[in-house]
Amino acid sequence: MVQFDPISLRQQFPILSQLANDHPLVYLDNAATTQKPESVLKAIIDYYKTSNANVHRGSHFLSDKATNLFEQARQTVAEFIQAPEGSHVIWCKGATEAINQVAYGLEAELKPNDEILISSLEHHANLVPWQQLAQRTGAVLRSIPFTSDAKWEVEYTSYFTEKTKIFACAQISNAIGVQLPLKQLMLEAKRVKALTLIDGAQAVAHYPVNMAELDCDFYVFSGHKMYAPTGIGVLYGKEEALERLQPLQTGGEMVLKVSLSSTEFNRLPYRLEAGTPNIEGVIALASACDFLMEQDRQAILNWEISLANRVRRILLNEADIKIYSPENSTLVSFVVKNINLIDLNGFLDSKGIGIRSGSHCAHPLMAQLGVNGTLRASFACYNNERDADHFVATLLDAIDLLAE
Amino acid sequence: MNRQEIKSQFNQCHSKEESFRTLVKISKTLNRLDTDLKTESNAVTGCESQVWLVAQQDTESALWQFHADSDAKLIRGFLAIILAHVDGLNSQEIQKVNLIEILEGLNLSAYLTSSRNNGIRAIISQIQQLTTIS
Repeated sequence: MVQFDPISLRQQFPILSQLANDHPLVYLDNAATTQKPESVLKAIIDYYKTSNANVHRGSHFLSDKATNLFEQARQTVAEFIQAPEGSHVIWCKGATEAINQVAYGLEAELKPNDEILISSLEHHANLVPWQQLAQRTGAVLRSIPFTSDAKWEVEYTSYFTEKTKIFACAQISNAIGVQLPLKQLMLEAKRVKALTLIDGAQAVAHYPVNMAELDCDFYVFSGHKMYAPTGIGVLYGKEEALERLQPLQTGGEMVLKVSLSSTEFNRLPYRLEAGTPNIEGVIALASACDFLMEQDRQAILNWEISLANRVRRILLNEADIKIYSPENSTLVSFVVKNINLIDLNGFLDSKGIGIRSGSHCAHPLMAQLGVNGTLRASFACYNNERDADHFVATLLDAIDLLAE
Repeated sequence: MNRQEIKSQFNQCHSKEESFRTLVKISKTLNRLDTDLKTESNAVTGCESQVWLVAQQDTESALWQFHADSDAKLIRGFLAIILAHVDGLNSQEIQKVNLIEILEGLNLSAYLTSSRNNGIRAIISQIQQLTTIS
């Protein structure tokens, strides 16, 4: 394990050592996407320099090399999420595609008045595919209302009934950083024999995850939020759950035998991976898993939380600021009374600070909180105290400038 | 604020921060809309911030008068610049005004690339649509 050293860790991210609008770049939009370390960039270049070929097809030197790397990557990801079996790791574009695959794949199993249950904290990616599935099948989409601090607003057990066929929720809310009480939720879902999906997009960069412990049927995440490139993600599933899915896409790679009138599909994981996969992305994602597994992850998590708490403590003293994220999160999500998000964002950007303002693809949650959107500063392993302090100082300047 | 004054204000800006501060300054010159004109039918769609645009054409002179507002100062700054270039013109004249080029000339291009969020391009196309000669 590499001992945690914020200085040397940051140096592994070349993109951060540049000026943005004449100021040192401060990147605090990590919940949207993370930057990539040298090791991941090198894995991409090395792949093209030494191993590029299509996988599972040819039997020649490069094809064997590429296929080996590609299949090893499944084992690396399985190790990363502490899953028993690499063949239950399905490659996809990202969490959104993974959820769409599951929602589409279960369509044949749903009847009118069956229920799909989600939480009110969900990103649209874990809402719209279920809503559309409900519309196609006559099933009903229900949402468990959380208060912003993820306390149960209602006696939640009543939401789980024999009608509940699918329960899907985030591990951590992207908009406000709240962690959902997965243990209880999974128990409830199992009690009513619902299939379960956890959206781990906001978790995997920060928290070690353990598939055996979570015990969900499906777990999805995107590579780009955990130091890997865009366009690669994972659908992990228990074997019997994955077997139940109809493939979202058909075509090359996922077949065993094709005639004009019928097709015999391949076994898992290939059955759910149509077309030439994102080989470069898969290899880079494995490299990002290696990068994280080499680190002292608890030390990094403590660091990220300490930076968010450092910002939070100061913002708590500002009468005009309302914070929606909890303490000990890796992000701070808030609004400033009577000042428009675009204005605050514009000033921060002019000072080289990249954060996110808006609804964070969570319109129902924003409606529940009674806001149009929030400002979100989200931290990653390479951020430092200077980033946090520069952000807070600039935010306070912006408030001075923009207050009526 | 007239076109010349706007130009000289932005000519003095040498960074995005200075441009931002100038936009905020200019935003204060924009006449705010009455609340009862901030209706859905006057809203410019395609903006993440709320923007309203009211256009009136004088029946005799055929000249256009615009009133606009937004809840964001940054956008009000842009509205002040845009209106300074189209207010009091007739349709033919407005169609000839290249607002994008004008904003680029003020070194505000960076704000146009993020137009999906701030809707400046939506405002410009709304003005052009309203004044299209049918």
